[in-house]
Amino acid sequence: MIRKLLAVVGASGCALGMAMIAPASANAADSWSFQTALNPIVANKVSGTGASWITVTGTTAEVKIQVNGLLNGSPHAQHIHIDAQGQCPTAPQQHNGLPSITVADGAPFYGTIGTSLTNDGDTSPAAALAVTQYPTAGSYTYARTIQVDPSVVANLQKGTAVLVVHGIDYNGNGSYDNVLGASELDASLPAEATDPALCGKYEPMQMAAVPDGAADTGGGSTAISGTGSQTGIAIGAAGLLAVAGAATISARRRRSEQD
Amino acid sequence: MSSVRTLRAGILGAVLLALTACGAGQSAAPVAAPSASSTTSSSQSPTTSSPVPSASAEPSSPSAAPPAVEPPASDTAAPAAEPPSDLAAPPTGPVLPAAAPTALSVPAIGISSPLIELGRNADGTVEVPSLDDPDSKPGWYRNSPAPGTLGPAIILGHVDSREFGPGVFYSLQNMKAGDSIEVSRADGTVAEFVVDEVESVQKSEFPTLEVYGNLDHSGLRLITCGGEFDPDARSYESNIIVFASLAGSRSA
Repeated sequence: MIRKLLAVVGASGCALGMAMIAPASANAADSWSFQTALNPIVANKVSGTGASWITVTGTTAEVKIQVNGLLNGSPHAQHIHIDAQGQCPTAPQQHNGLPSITVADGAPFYGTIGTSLTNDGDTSPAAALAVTQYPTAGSYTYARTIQVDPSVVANLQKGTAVLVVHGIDYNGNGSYDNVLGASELDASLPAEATDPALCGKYEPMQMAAVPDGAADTGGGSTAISGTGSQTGIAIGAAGLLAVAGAATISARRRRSEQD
Repeated sequence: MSSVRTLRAGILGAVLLALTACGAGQSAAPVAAPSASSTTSSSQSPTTSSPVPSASAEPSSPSAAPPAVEPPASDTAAPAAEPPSDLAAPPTGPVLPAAAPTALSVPAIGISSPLIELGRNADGTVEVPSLDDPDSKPGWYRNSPAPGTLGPAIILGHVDSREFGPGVFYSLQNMKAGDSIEVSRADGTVAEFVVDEVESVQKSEFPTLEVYGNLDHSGLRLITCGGEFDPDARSYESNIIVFASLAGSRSA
């Protein structure tokens, strides 16, 4: 089968390329995946949502995060927290006279930082507050393949790995300010910049390895459009006729459904 | 007459674009970089609320509920290392023991075909059957749960090939809720699924967790391509996804 695929790829000189030449690298024996729904920290007056999933092979982690509805134009630090209860905090404390939840408040629940999910470079706990290295949009998708510490993998498997996305707008004024005082982590930053916004515990997935993106399940030979012929997609005359016939039938069927 | 022809021509064009699914090679999948790639983009990404069934179930809740069905026999796709921590909620429907799928039958659109196995490409995308085989078979993604076990079993097939016209899933988008799907399995049983819904989604907004995320039942997803074909990328712009749930089983 593989030989056949390779032969075909070679013969057609076509775009499947790398993907087909190295098929099926991961399998059920060496990969597993985790997912979480990201819920807003309501006490911090966050209404955003999100989701994340990770496929781990060894210590290679393919991390995907989708975030919606956070403060736009401000950095959102995001970390995988480990080594605690695998929970998200809900009970606010008083900060600057206002009920809210800081990173320190949450730590007994979600633990310390295991991985910093930066855009580039360092992903260790040392990059936790590298604010220039994090997404700054209010809604974003994040995808990065990184090496993680074995302890992070162990926590994912134990159910004690928690994704926390930071950066809130407690007073709704459109930017991070000192309404809640300074951050307990870095006094040069407002607490709003580091307080947790979204939180979710990773659960094991029934799917061992989540595919990346969509599925390439068509070759285009039935897609006869004006542009199709320009790009030299080879369709034999006989094939064209057959395809046109099939498409017409489908068109009729579809129309009858609509009627 | 002429109006009919015009109508048909119009529909023909639309259907040709709408019916067929996905392309070869450089798909629309945004994250194609193989190694340490990082893409962060601002978007109104779909509000992907995770379908984790037990999201609200705190550890205290599954008290005396008897396990209605046998627990998810750890099939090939289950992470062997640790049992799921909080996923203890019992399945909501029938669940079969693990057995590899061998054949697919979809009477509503005339499919009766053996199944191949598919893996994951080096770039992380899902492997698909050959696009150059006029008799391309549908395939079970082997990193998904076996059909009939707890979770989302994934079967992919082509809407068309590169050169040979319609593929095995050419008519997938014509399926409707209530249609039956049968998967024959290596243990001699036939898992009987019923279609819940059929969706067409832009590949760029592929609803990963809706398709691949955890379920509280035995599910099945048939996936092919649809939407417009991008001749430059040699790829369709959408996926057609049939969502189904296990209704029962019988001996083959």
